[in-house]
Amino acid sequence: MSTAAKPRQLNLDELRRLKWLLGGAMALVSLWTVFFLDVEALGLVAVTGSVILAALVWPQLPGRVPALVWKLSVPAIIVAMAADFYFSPDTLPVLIRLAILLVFYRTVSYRRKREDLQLIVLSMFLVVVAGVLTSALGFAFLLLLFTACGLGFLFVITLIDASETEGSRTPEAETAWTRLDWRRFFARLRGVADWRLLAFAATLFTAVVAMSGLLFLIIPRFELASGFFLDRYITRKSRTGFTDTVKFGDVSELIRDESVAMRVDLSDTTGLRESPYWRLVVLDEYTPEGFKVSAGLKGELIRGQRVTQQLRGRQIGREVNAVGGTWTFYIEPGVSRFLPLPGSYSTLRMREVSPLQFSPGHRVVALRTEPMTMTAFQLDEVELTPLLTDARFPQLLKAARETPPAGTGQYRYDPGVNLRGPSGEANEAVLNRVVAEITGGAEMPVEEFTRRAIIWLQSRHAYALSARLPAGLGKDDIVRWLDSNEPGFCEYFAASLTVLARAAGHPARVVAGFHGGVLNGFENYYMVRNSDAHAWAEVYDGKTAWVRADPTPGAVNTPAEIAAQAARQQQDSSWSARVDSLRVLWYRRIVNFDSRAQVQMLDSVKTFTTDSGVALRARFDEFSKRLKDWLQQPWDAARAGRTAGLLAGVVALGWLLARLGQWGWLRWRLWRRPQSFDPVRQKAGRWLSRMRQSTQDRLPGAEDGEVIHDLRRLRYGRRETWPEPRGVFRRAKQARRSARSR
Amino acid sequence: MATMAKVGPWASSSAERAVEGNRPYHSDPMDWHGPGAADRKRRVFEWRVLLWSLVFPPKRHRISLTVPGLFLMGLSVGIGTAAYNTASNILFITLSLLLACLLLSGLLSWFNFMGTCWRLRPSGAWRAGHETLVTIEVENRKGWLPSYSLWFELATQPRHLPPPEKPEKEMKMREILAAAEKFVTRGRIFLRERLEPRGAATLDWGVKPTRRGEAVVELGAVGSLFPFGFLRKNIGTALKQTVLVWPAQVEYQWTGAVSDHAGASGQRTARAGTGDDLLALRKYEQGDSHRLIHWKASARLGKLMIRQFAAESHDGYVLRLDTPAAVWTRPEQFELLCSFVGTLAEDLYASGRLRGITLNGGPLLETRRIRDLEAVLDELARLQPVEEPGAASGEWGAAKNVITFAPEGARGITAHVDGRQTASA
Repeated sequence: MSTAAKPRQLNLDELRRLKWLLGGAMALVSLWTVFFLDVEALGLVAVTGSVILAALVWPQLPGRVPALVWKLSVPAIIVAMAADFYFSPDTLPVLIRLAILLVFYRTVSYRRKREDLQLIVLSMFLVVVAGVLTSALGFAFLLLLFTACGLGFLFVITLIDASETEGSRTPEAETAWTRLDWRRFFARLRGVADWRLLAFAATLFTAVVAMSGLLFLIIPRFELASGFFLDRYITRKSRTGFTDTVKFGDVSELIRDESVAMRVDLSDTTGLRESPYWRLVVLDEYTPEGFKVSAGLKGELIRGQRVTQQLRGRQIGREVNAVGGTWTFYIEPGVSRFLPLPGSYSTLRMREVSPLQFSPGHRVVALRTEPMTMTAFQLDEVELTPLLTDARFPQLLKAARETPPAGTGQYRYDPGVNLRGPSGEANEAVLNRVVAEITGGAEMPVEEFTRRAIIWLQSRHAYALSARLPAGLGKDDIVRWLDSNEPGFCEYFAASLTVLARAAGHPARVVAGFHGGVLNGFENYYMVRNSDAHAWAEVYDGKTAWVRADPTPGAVNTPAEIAAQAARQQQDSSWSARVDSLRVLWYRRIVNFDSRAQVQMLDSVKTFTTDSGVALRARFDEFSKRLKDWLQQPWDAARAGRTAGLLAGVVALGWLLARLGQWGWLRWRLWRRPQSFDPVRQKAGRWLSRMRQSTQDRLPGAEDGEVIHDLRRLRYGRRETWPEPRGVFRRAKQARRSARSR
Repeated sequence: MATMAKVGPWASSSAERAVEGNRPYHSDPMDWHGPGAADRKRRVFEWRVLLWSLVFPPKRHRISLTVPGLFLMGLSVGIGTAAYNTASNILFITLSLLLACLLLSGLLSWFNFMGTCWRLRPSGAWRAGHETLVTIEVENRKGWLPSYSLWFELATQPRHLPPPEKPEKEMKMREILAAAEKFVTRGRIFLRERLEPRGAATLDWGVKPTRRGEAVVELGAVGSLFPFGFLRKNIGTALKQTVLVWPAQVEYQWTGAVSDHAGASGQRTARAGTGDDLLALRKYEQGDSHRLIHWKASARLGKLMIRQFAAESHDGYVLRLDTPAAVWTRPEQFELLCSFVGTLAEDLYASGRLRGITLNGGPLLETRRIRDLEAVLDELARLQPVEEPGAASGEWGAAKNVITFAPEGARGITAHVDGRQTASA
């Protein structure tokens, strides 16, 4: 055996313990990703995660489980999966729960190499599915963590493979690693860890991340098929308040939620003078519980469905006062299938070809189903206006009055629905009384009526997030509230204005969406939270347009109020805004990175390279010209002397710096490994190389052999056995000289 | 069977080499091989060569996918297909990460082999039927990166294969390959612990040669699954060493016939041997017993000196071996002859009764030292039947106590001293 120091490395049992630790960490990371998914599995994740953690800390626990339990585990999982499939309407949540169970089973059982690989695959399935379904920013972090754990896991498996000897071991020896003391184990890990190797590993991992980023950018993109396939296997519900039916209180529930509902990137924030109203859904049919999308409007949306990537909003060539440049929307999953539209637009562009339902008259665009992932789309040439032009509506209304639609065509749009309000004598009596109070019995244009109605409502009712409805039989909720002095929220105000306008003979409807938002000071985009949910009314002006009317106290309706509000527009520069800006960067640069963005990136790289090259060339040309001019100036002795002196000084300084650097390097090497650094040995090594080259093509003579022998003794031998170095080097020089002359 | 012993830093092993003798530098038979070998010719750097090496592996380098590697490739293809099908950037990110991990695997594998070198040293005497060791010395000449999980693929086979037997019927490919592999012994030994930077290790491979004669020991490839087990990388080495396999030892019967010409006891001879009388002092040679070192003389002269004793005054035997092809027609019997002669020679030498051996009328090979005996065994290893053995000549032509050999029947061998049978195998 050698007397060299025993190498610091983990033995087989310690490697197995490390593998157990890494496998458990990997499984926990993959379970963590399930929290991003909106599936009914959080309880299962909590239980399995706890058990995995316990098994990590006490690895001998799985060994105490009877063998029968392990044998019955797999059939139990199969039975559970079958039952889950039977009772669950969606496929994907079942698969996710199955994956959780399998990860749990593999993590807590003692594994061999094949089972280790199964664990990696199952964990990766959970991570990837969660990422694909949610596109959440947290996925990026978890993916990196999973990759680090996975690579370490595979590395340890390879080391164990190499360390295992042939031949069987006793059961006690096989499970000896479970009985290692944690403290001692971590002490061994600390003892074995070499900071250089750890730094090297960290550098390599960073290089892997950078390399994967580069591959991500350069992998060519082209869409082979439309649509995202996994969304067919899972259904998702929108938040209440932005569905086809909005009951009183639905929107107000959202106002208590401070999470971000959507982010809007503006390519040009100048010119934006008001807080936008983000229209999501138009609720034109009145019911005593609230307003809803009428069957006719639903039918129009279905009839207007097409699979496309782009929609035209406005006629080409129409002059508008567009603001904001290109608006890019990133809507969080679960908000609504209706797309928020702040005003009229020229083009709506989706990220990929998607089935869209479109009603141009109502300016409503909806996806066919609730989206599972973040939805992104762009609007061009957006005009923020309180008017919504609907040229068809007068004809439709006139036709409907003259020829009421038949009952069988329930999915045919009925414009008369915009005039129907609370029915019944009691309701009508209250409404007529209020209308008379507002108008004073006089005929007035719609704008005037709307203004007076808003004043009337705001004078009698204050804004509050909770509304207490007064008692009263025979009247609808909204009528009872209208006739009281109770405070209320935006839905009540909007609904009240709508029913009053309808009672006065003016078509009106309720619109739900968001109002306002805060500008993120870091990345210059709008953050619209669920607390910005709002409801307002739109009243038909009797000509060709619907006019927005927001009766909620605090809303701005006049240009002066709008300007004042724009002046008070705040920027959010808090820490949460900073973190939120990362999410937008994630959406912008990664999730939304398509072939167009790739081409743009390549173009910008090309432009940058070209411009840099041109600038560099221009600088070089300028420098050459100046040098030429300087050289062409008349020379005299003094000038020549100065130039020569300067040149000599520069050369001397360079030489001095080189020598200093060399000296510093040699000193550092001597400090670092004094035993290996010896100038005599180094010189002997150099002479040996030279001698090798000179004797390569001919037979060596006796003198050469003696010189080489002495050089090797200087290079490798003990110091006590050295011949006199100078003499040896002198003889080597002579031998080489004579070899050259031969 | 593989065992491992550690040696110190490579500098000291080179120091030992440096003081061994005045061998010319460029004719060192135990060269180092591998990416870290210092003797490799340093080529001038060319971009063309570098780029081509990234695309096409160097000669004898093989990279193959393991089962996990195949699975990873399949997974990458699947994720890539799904990514293109759905245009999901999340899947593109996953695909990029998988491909980057594959690249990292290749890079780390290259680092693992970088700076490592090895050499092959068949150690000890090789004898047919006896297990012997082949030693591989491995060094890691990297400054601070260890090397992990290396294995070495070895093979040994006779240098001159016997002619193939004529098949009675047409052979299938499997049978043909099996026939070709019949004389090849293969093995793989693993470096189970990591090789520290500037560290060295020794691995032993136990092998039992089956045939006498020249054999080739080859280190075919050095491989590793490092780092993640996706890729199996093999660096072919074609490192070969030829060894001589002595004949196997056999059982024989010594009837103990004594020659007619026993000399007087106590008579000194002028021949070196294992007697008690000091004959001379000579310089130390490798193989001499340390008990024979004359320390006073060594200190006086400044070099190791060995006491040389006179031989005992009993008659030693001379083994005379003639191998005419007409007499030794059966290969098995001939092998038995070589084994018998070798075993007998060793036994006689051990008891101090072997003067020498002559083969096919050649000069007498005296066996004074162990090295002489080894030379005899080397000759026996190479011995083949000859057409016309030469006639005995020289001083021992008419000598006494000459043991000759003759076949006995189809399988046996007899040894005769002066015409009388003295041993048989």
